[in-house]
Amino acid sequence: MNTEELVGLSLAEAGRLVRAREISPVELTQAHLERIARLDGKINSFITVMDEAAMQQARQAEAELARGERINGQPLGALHGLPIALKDLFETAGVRTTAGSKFFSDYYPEQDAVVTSKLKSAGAILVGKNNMHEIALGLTTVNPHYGACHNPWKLDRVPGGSSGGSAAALAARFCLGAIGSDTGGSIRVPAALCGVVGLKPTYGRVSLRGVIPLSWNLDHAGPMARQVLDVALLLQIIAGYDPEDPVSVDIAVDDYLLGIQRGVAGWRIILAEDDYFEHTHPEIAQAVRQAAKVLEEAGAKIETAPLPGARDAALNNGMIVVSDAAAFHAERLHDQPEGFGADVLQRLQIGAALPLVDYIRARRSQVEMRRQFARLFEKCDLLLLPTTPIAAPPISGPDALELARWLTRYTAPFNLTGLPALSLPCGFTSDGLPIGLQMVARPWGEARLLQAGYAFEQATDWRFRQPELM
Amino acid sequence: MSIRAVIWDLGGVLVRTEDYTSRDRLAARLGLSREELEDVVFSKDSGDRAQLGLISVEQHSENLRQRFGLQRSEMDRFWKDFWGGDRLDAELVTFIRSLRACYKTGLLSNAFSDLRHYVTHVWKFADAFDEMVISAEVGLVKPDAQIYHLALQRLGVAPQEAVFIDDMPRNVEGARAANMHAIRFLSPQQARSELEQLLNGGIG
Repeated sequence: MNTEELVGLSLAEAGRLVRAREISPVELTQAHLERIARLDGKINSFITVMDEAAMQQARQAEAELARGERINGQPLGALHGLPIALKDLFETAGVRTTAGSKFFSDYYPEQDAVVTSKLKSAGAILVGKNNMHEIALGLTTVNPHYGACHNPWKLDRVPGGSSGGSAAALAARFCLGAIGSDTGGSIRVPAALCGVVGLKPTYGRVSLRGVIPLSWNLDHAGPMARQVLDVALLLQIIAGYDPEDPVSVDIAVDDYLLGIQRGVAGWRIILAEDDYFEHTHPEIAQAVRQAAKVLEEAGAKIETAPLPGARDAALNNGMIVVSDAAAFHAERLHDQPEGFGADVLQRLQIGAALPLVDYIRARRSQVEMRRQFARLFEKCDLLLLPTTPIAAPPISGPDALELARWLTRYTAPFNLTGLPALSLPCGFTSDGLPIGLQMVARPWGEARLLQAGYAFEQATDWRFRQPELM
Repeated sequence: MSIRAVIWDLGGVLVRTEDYTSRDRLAARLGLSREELEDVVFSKDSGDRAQLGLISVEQHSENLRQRFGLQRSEMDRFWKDFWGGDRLDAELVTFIRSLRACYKTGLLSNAFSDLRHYVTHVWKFADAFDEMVISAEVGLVKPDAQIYHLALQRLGVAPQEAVFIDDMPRNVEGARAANMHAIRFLSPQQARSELEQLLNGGIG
């Protein structure tokens, strides 16, 4: 298998080939590192490439594979020998973890985040730390300290954010899977803008210990990849109760691959449509309606219904994010405000100045909205809506900032309510930019969500499109 | 070429279900036949993936719990009933230990991720083997030729220098396809007698 073929594999397929000893972790890792070295100058999707460590891990993985067990006598894991990237806010022992911030430019954690160590135990090869919007507080990944990340589909466009580097690296075939975080849409938005798959799990499903926080109340860690099955594989590894994480919840983890191919026949699916969605770009609205048709042909019953409360939920989510972020960064904001980029500084200042009463009301509305949104799923199995109202906006220019403001409109309600939500490719705009379809399920309904995503993906061929990178 | 290594299957050979009462009772409670229950536990996607090590035994147990609509607290009982009639053949283990004086010995089992723990800490006969190759650990299952080669490589012997003993015809065939000697296990007496014949070069 040549380099091009190796980097074009899905995570699941690469995993199968590695375990069958048909491809080696060394050639697979080398292919990805070479591609990063050759092409990431144009994309800037990594803040740190862990090339030496990754090659060392890969050589070890190869020796382990030959012997059939890990060096320390542990079994081979489900991700053995597979190149994975981490958003640069997941702590990595001995490897710089910046959170995209100047303040953390010299931060070398002593310990791995829980997610990092779960990936390592599963045998993953960590190829690097992805670029992100500064402190995760923004949607463009135009990072003033580590450089702007570019969308592989059109280099003058943003990849979305804040996990923009992760989505761009996947689209550019620099890794087979990635882990991002999502506080208002930071996994789903870049997934949509870069034409990859991203899952924000239920609040409390994936441990946040060792993840540099943006909002203690709204952060979610989750998997990203090029195909739904790959996202399911990654979630299987990182999901689970962590008694040391105060917001982790002790609910049994489903087997996300078992029954993923069961389809959606007989499902009741609601396509959200009301004036809140009026501003969706017509090509995106059309692609989402077309996606609903695909699911209908697969045997689901589609109804359109309004999504009352979405506007308030998004607004309240934004208020809590900026306030929590201002609290976490309070000292830095006070002592050295100039250390933050202009857009992030402005948001932090808004957060710091937000009246207490507004914050309290936002938290109260979170409790109410959780109930209200969960009730929606008493009547249906799945909610369908666009991930973003627009495709990838330009990196710079007069409209850049104004357009970026729109990006979390459809994603933020599900951070506030903690519901699991998936974004996956459902088409392209006439100027060749990817469109994301968002699916939302009831709390802890990740298995069903992935089942629906898989059904849609298999009925379409969007996953086979990839950007040309020279 | 003379035999230098003896490799053993576990389930149905060293550990055998001698009493089906509790497993049958469990199957009946779940509205299944024993064969159907065994099929769900050992194969049927979740069981297959657990044996390949793609999911942990804990995840497999959770899948079974969901499939049968049981409470988390009922799963200990489920497994106790399922394995309740299994007996370790201590005599056979003693025999394998005695083989170690002249031969390398290995365990080659299609099993879940917790088998090593059971062999080492519950049944305590890990010392009978030079190498244990467990499917969930190595990501390969019998009768895939690669898992036999892995076991041979770990024991440092050529295929013709090893004999493999298993109760399942397809695993016996798999070993023969990998150019090993193989014995289909029917009973301890039969297997030991065939093995001894082979080890003595058919002289006796």
